[in-house]
Amino acid sequence: MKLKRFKEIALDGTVRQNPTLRLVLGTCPTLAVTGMGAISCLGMGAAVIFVLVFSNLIISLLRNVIPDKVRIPCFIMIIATFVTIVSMFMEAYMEKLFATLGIFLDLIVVNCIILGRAESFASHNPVLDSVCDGLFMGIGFTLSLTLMGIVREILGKGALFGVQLWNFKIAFFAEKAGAFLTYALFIAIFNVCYNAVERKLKHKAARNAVAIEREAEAAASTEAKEA
Amino acid sequence: MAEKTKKSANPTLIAAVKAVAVLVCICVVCVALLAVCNEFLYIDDEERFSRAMRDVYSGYVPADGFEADLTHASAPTGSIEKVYKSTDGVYIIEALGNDGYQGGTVTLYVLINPDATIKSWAIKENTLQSYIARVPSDAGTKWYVGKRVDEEFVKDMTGATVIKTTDAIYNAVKAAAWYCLNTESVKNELGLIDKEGLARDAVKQLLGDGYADYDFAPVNVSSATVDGTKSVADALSDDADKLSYLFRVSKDGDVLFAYVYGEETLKIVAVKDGEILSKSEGVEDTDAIVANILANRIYTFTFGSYNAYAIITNAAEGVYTVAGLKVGTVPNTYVLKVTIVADTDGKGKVEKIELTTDGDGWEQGVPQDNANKLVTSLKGARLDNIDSLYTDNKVSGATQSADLIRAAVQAALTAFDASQASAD
Repeated sequence: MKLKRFKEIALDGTVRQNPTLRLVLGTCPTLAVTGMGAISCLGMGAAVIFVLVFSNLIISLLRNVIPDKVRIPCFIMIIATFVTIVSMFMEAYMEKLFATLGIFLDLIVVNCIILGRAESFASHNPVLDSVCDGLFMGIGFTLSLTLMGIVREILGKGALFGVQLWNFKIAFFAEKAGAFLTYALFIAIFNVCYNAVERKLKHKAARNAVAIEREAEAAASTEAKEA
Repeated sequence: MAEKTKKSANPTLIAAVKAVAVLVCICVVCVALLAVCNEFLYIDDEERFSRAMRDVYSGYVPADGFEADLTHASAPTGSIEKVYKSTDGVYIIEALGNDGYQGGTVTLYVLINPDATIKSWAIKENTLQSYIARVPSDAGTKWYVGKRVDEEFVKDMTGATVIKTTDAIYNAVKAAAWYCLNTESVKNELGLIDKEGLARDAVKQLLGDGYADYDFAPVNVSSATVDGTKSVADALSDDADKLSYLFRVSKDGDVLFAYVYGEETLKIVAVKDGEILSKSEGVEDTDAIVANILANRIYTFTFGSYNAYAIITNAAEGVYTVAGLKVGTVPNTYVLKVTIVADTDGKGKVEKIELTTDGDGWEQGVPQDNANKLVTSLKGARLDNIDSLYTDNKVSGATQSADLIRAAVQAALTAFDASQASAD
């Protein structure tokens, strides 16, 4: 895989097609898990990364074998297998995190991000690209989930990563309504920043293009004069 | 034409077979992969149990030879899966509670102390409880802890909860309590037997059918004190025997007291007007406790709708130490030292009353002043004029407490007159 392609995939997964803040996928765990604290968000993110990477890997490997008509049941079967594995692993070695995440761990099976990437990317792209896509999509999801978790934990519980910082807390942010508000604010801020940066880059690219064009024109006129 | 149809059907059939074959293959591979993972990652019941014990009861050591009696495993609010017992007498009951979110369940380990109180609990597993993580992590060491798993607990505990999951937790704890109450061996060991009920039945049996329609009311002998510190039970007991229960047996003004003592075999003495009316097997007149019972006579008075009792624990040279035992709902006592002297006609007359309160419903401050005023007003009272003196000076709004003081004074006067009569 070329470096440029790798960069494209990395940027798509984390920023341009950030599943939580740009594609607004996987909203159920986002709203629920961010209220459980930043540690739970990291745990959920890690589980999603694992499932995304391995399901993309297998689906990409089998993309020419799986018939189109049964692709969805096949994808679900593969995803469910990896979710079960991650769930078993967490229960065995991270019992507290497993207990905290509860049903949301099993619900990764129906997380739109995973099925979405399987359907739109892994089933059409080579293995390495698919693995990278899974990894960076997962990282993008984890980052946004953890940042939201941090904000809600600080505001709603006065704590950070389970450590109590102060007694001041706004209980609203730990509740359901607070989850929606935080999510909305994150989407708004992220998209405002993203659009601003994109506009700037476009301007810069346009300026560069104009400059190159002018340079080319100047060079052409110089050549013509010389001739 | 037929050949053409056959040719066009084949690819569809082949595609269908291929699709099914691929799906089946993927399923088989996934199942195999999960089976391998299961080998390494499966958490068995023993491990789950030891994890839960690590969190809630690190002192758990399995009791040798303990076999759970699961005859009553199906409770109204859930079911009992397993029962463990620690060497220190703590029961660990694995109880499943019904009626959680979406009709799901929560399974708990409920720890019951040897004194039948809830030590703690921990969640083992759940079904369909998506908000189980909202149950605070320290709930198992706070919710219901210290509550006694008796009839009242099982009856009264209702789920006033925020989420349905906590209803299932309530139900699991209730199921564990229900198990303790209904399993004979556990019930006996935890002391959940209604001992008072057994004592009442024994008294009824002793007194026979003649008293079948009498009222058998328990008197608070263990909490009521005779001198501010010593309970009535302590005052009447001796080293050999301890008074366990006292019943006031009454009907239409006919009153007697039944004293119950003895550890393994209940011994009963029924006393009426200071005389033994009946006694159970094994009770000897020479028993020290019987002498105490007869010496510390209990007087009973009825003031309006209230029953008042008074026990005289000391009567030396006309100074009577009297404790008003219980009037209506007042739980404790007033202890008075009443000095009685003979009036001109030889009847008793109150010369002095010293009042000690014992937190019996009087609040400190102004009501205490009222108590003192009542006591002062009863100075000079005799049995034949105490009614009018009391009526003039009783304390409005604290009638029961005032009645308690009156009962004590009246008991002292009655005892004095009786002693004078016997001396004559």
